[in-house]
Amino acid sequence: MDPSLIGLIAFGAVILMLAIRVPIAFALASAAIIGTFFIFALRTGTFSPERAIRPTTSLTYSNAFDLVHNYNLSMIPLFVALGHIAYQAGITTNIYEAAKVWLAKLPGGVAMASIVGCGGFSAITGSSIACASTMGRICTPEMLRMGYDNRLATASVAAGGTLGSLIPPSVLFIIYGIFTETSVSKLFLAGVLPGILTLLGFLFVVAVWVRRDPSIAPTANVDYSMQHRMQAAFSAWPAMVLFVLIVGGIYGGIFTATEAAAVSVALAIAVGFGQRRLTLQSLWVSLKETCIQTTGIFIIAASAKIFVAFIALTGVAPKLVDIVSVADLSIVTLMLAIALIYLLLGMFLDPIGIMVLTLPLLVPLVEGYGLNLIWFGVVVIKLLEIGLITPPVGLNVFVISNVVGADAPLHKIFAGIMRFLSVDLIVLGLIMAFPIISLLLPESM
Amino acid sequence: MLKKIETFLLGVAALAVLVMGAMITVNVILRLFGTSLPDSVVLVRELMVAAIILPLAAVTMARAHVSVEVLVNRLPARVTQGLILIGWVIGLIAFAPLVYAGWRELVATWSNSSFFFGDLSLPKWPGRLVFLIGMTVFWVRLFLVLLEDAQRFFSNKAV
Repeated sequence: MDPSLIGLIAFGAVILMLAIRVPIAFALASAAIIGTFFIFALRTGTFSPERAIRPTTSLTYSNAFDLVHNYNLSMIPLFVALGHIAYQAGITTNIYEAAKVWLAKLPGGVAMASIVGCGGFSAITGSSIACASTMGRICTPEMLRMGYDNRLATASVAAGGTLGSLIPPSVLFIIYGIFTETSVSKLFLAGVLPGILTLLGFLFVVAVWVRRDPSIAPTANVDYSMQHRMQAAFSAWPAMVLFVLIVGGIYGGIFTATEAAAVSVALAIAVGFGQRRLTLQSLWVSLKETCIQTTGIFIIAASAKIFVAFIALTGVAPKLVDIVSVADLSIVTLMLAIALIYLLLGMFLDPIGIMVLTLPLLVPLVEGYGLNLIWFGVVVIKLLEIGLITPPVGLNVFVISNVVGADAPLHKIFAGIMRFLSVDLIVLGLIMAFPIISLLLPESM
Repeated sequence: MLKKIETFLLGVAALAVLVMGAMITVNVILRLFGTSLPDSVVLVRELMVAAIILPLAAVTMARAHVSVEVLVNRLPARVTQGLILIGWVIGLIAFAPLVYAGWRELVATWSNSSFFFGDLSLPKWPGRLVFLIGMTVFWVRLFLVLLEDAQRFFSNKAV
């Protein structure tokens, strides 16, 4: 049997397994291991299973072990730990409190503060879902209590939560970096401007929405003194320092992304203990939660690595490149097709699943067209970010729905999301049309 | 018994994350003085194995593996529960070769006395041993979860 046929069958099997709720890691690893076994067993033309056992297990083991036994990837558990520790130390939520004090008097000010808070939270945690879950518990109930329309109160946080994918440090960028062998530091820097652009776009949506219909966001009746405002701004300093440390440290070449992760964890622990907001017990809980979350990510990544090695054996990717080359697609058509695939997959699959399933085939294709993989990474992450709020799955929407319960039915949240989604699509268009938005910072390093 | 082992392994993993972060931070500070911890890169890589692989059983126990639920959510509960069982079986098939290969690799590095080139000539077997322990406990937990769910399924209880 032709290896590429085995590859296509395995790919179909993965899709089928995912559809019937087999965990992503199990689906990828089983299809890859069985497929690799058949390729080695059929190598000589006749089926010789005894010859296939050793190379199959060796290839599988080396791919899984090498992924885990990796110095650079220690940034994933460290950044995840940073998010948990910063939350326990109150560093992440202080950003929202500060933004709220400064923006409260503006129409829709608390919704804007929520989005700014999400941006700040993302700048530390790197996880969209964690951002939506945490900020959803804090901001949405407060907005609902103040009489905000439930569409605005929920959608602003669900959309704001997606900023965690683009604003560094982002776990999705790290995983993209692993599979495309591109610099994670450059990817982080490439995400900064598109992340800020998205944040500003979301603020614009709130401003326009509230201006057209002021009843959806009653203005707060509180008047904060300048002293109160300054205190609130000062309380957010640890978050500012952490962001500057991570982005500034990488941009200035002071340390690598891995070192930035470790140093920022050390700083968050020091600030937490210094401000007496972190205890040994809460630190221990944070570290254990970090391990559970990181292992969940890595088991998928390791299985995907095994799958990538299997796809390389089958030779499917070069054949796909040949087919597309013969079709003579323009770059614009190719990118629109890729965007469509991601938007469709984003409706059903989680971001890591989409990435590990598509990158083994798409990266050779994109490289064949001579496209910049850093820029392509930003486009991919932006598409995945959009997938987090598109119906029918929209993970962030479900997270917010779980948090607020009956106060905001799912269709109301999706109704509010549409406004933010339109801005997301505009920003995506800008990123695709003007690669400089993504490449300005990494290329000036 | 297995629960206690899982809790212990999760604790070791949490400690590994902390030590890893501390080592890298100390190295950044030492760089200012033109020095560094010996073989810190190798040590961090070995700690990574503990941080990532040892919690696998605890993740499985918490049923925290990511899957796509939206497509099966509208199916009858009985069918969905059956599909969960199939998922566990596929997991057992997928990771059995890794347990076997992990054992073979450990034996090979132990009998060859393989070591990492560096200041301390650290042996290669500890990382391999941690990998094997983590994978084996994970596989056993997966098997037990399958048994438990199968028992509930066939006695018409919710999985």
